[in-house]
Amino acid sequence: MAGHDQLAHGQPVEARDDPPLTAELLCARYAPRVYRFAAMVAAGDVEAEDLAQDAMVRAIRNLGRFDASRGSVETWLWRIVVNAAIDAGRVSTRRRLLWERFRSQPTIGENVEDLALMRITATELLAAVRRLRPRERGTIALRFGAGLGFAEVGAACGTSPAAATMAIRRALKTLRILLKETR
Amino acid sequence: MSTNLEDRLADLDLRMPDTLVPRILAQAAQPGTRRIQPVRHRPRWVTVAMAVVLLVVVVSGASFFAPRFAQALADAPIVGTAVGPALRSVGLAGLQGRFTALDSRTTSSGYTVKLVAGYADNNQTVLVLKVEPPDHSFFAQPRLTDQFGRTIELRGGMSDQRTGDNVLLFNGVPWPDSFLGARLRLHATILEALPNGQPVSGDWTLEGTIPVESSRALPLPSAGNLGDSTFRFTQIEATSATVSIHMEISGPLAKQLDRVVGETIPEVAKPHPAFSYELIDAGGGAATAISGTASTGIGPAKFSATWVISHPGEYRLRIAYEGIGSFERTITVP
Repeated sequence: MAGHDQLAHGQPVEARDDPPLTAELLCARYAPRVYRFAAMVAAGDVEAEDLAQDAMVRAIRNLGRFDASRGSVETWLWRIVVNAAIDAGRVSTRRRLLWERFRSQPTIGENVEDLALMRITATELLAAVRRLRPRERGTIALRFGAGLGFAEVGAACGTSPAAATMAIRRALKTLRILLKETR
Repeated sequence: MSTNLEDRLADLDLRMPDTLVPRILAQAAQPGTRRIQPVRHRPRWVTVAMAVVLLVVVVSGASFFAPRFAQALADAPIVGTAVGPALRSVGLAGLQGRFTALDSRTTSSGYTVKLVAGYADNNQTVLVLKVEPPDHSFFAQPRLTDQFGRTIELRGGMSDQRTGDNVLLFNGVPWPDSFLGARLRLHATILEALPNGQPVSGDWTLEGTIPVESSRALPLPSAGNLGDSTFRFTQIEATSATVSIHMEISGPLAKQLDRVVGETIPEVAKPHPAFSYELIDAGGGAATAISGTASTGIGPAKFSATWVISHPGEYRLRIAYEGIGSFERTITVP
């Protein structure tokens, strides 16, 4: 594809943002956040690097197809990243998708003080995130790893902002349960 | 430190490796290739020196039984992305940069099987195959032999019925392949069918030569006790990609390593093994287990497990038995 040849050599691509996006600029702006997302979603550090690299390369190679009239660069990018995560997590039967319908969770107290978070290390917290189900991990990673708002999480997952909000809340509940078990 | 869970998540220190962006840009600059993997570059002078030594010492036919040297001359490429998706789907992503590319293919009964890549060390041999059309897999009693005709036992594997990717996991190659290199021959007469499908009979033989990753013995940690049972380490070894432990277990738990506990609660829980083992890196991440096997009989039970590791350093080995307890030992991989 001629498009990504040009991109990789630093030639600008027409996009809504100013200055025009190049591969380098896309990396400078988004790669750290894509990696944060990947680090939460993936099972380990090697897989996280794999996923972040795969997602960014996909985005760079498709920059020429980006249509500013259909949405922002950020919305477009995070859909690519989520799709890369789905592909990475796809099981061999190819039947179960990562972004399946929300799982119902048992209700527990919301008081975060109960969690004694002061005693939980960052390593334990990341390990607990990685133990979540893919769907839960994904929403947590988009919200808190990539720093997206609820509407942006919804756009990336193909759901409404309200559904994304609910999904994030449920994921946080599950994470609290895991952290309680950790203590 | 904040006590708010959401703040703690947002504040997690997940710094991108400095090498990632250059790798992304380099890969994006290569149309048609999916990924650049780290390649074990051998200094050119080493290759030249090995070639000279080979010319001096080689005798007719020696390279057949010592393929490692032939491999050095051939300087076979290390596979990167071609096997990446298949390996990731079985949790072996950490090994993918260490595979040797192979190119052996055979067709029988309308099914083409290609041997794509291989990896071997003392404890496991992993082969990646592609079956076309992909609706059958290569699991129906394939036989793997080395250049001395010895059979290497199949442990398990994965078949992706959409792409035709097959990853087969065998035992490690025996001595002296472990330092000579392994000239492998894979043979099958039946391809296994999808559920409700019919197996296909034929004759598929594939061959490939792969170097064998050398391993080194690591110091043994002290034995651990769980209840009245003792877990004694008999061997621990590491390659640049894996860590393997071997233990002998004596006492009541020796006969109960395969016990399953817990109940089935739809969508919530399912029975799980009471005996568990984990290797955890310094960052708290669990290494991917390739295998874990136990054998029981008269006397102590024997247990072996292997994990893929991504870097040297200190690892915590955690052995647990539900309802009894757990213990941890530190393993340092230099």
